[in-house]
This record gives sequence, structure tokens and C-alpha cells, in this order.
Amino acid sequence: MADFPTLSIPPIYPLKEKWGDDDQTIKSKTESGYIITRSRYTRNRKVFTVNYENITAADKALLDTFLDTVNGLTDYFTWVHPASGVSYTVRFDEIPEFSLTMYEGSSYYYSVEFTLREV
Amino acid sequence: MKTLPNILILEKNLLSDTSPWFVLLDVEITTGVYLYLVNNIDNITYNGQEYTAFPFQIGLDRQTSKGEIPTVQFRVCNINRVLQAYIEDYDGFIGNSITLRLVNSSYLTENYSQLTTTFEIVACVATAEWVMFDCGAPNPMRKRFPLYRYIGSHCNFTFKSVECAYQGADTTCDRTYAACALKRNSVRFGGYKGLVGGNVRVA
Repeated sequence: MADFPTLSIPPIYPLKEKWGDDDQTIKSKTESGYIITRSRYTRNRKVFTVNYENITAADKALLDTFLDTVNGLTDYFTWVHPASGVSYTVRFDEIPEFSLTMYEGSSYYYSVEFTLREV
Repeated sequence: MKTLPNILILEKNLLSDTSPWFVLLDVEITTGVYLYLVNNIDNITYNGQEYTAFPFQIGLDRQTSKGEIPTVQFRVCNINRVLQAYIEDYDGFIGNSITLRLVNSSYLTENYSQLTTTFEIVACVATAEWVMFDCGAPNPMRKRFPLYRYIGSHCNFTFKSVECAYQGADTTCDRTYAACALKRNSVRFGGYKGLVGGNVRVA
């Protein structure tokens, strides 16, 4: 299993974290107004939204290579939460989209946002 | 009327239930060989058997007014082609059974006999995404009845089988009573001498 590459800068904050998928809970509303709920699975799967701003072309190349390694959304990998240090087994929820945001001197800088979903 | 264990009745009546209910499938590949699947994200062990987390869906009952046997469709994930080889090797599991159980993850040792249903696979279609099994109730017209043919002067047993139990030197048998007597094995004769009268009678 691949590891998410270590970039030269940390992600920007807020780094969003959802406790689990919305479909983790099955809901049914009754006519009397009660809502009946139950769990769908035995385990919740966290969702993280990660942003990097102004990463260098070298960092972008690292991410490009990594996307080739995991074949986009296909393979799962290990990602370490920058605050807690906890390792999660995740995969990309959607293909990361890079934006060329800045040119300074002779260097280009990019921004990227992606969502990671626990397997 | 279904009679569930009290603990399950309490569980199903909860307004909010943190222990999920799972559908378990026992898919018979061939006689006595099963795939055990659960629609969870982790494997679970039920009744000493590990059920593999596997995506599947259960369709609605299809009932018509034309006298057809009601069917229900099971759709099992085929993206990684795990089932493809099995269904090609075993003729789409046609005629085999699928047993469906509804169990609660916190009470896996309870009695779920009232929440267990067995279907017979009557059709199978595979696409790139799903293997779809059309299932119906077991068809009594496919059952052999009566179980045996009762023939007066002809032995039903295969020569040297367990029922025949002949252990002598002879290598052939024409399965008549006379041949059985010659082999001194007439006590194991598999015909029904009382029926002899020139006709085959079906009891």
C-alpha cells in the first residue's frame, strides 16, 4: 500500500474532517413526527477535505506521480493526519484538481484541494 | 406469525438503534459449497462461519397476476469479477439455493430461524457491474416424487454400491433376482418381489 507523499509545506487550515458518511445512519420519518434511526454499518468512515495552497512545481510533480501510483481514485493508501499523527487508510473521493495560482520570479505555484475518504 | 426472541423484538422496536441489522447471504455454488456474504464494510462471524463483507442488493418481490411464481432479484457486485469464474464453472448456480438471514450485529447468537428464508436460483445474468440472480421459492415440480421407482423383478441398486454391498468376485450383474440369488446376495436385492405380476407399479 502506497503512502501519501510528504510535501514541502503543510496543508492550509481549516482541514475539514467529517465523522462519517451521511449514509452511515438510516432514517425513517413517521407520520407522528418521530424519526426512527439505526446504524447501517459497524464502523464509521471518516472523510477529510485537504487544501494545499501555493505548492511548488516539485510538490505538484510528487502529487502527479502519486496519482499515477494509485491510479486516481482506484487504489487506497496511507495518509497521516497532520495534527493528530494518526494514520488512515483512505482513497481519493474525487480526482484532485490543480490550479496554477502564482508565478514568482522563475517559479510557478499551484493550489490543490482534494477529499479523502476512509476505506 | 413470526415469533422472535424477546431481545430482538426490543431491538427492532427501538427508536434509535446503534447496532446495525445485517443481511447475510449463503449462496450455494454447488452442492454443499457456499459463499457467505454480508452487506457490511467489515467481515462478521455468525454461527461459527465468517461472512465476507461484499456489496449486494436485494430487489423487490416481483409478483404478477398471470400465475407466475413470485421472484426476487439478488444483485451481487461483479466489479472485481470474483463471482464471474464461479458462475461460468457452475452454470450460473441455476437450481441452487440462496439463504437470506436478517441478523442484528449485537445479538449474533440469538435464534434467527424466523428471519431466515431460502430461495432457489432460477435465472442468472452477469454484467460488468452486477451478477443478478432471479430467485423464486423452491419449485416442488422439480422434486422427484415418488423418490424411487418400485419394480418387482429388477434391482434398483448399483452393482457393488453401498446398498448392494456385494463383495464377491463377480464383476457384472444384470440386476435380476436370479442373478442376485446366484451371487448369494438376495437378502440385499433392491427390487420389490411382492409387486411381481407382469406390470410395473408405482406406489
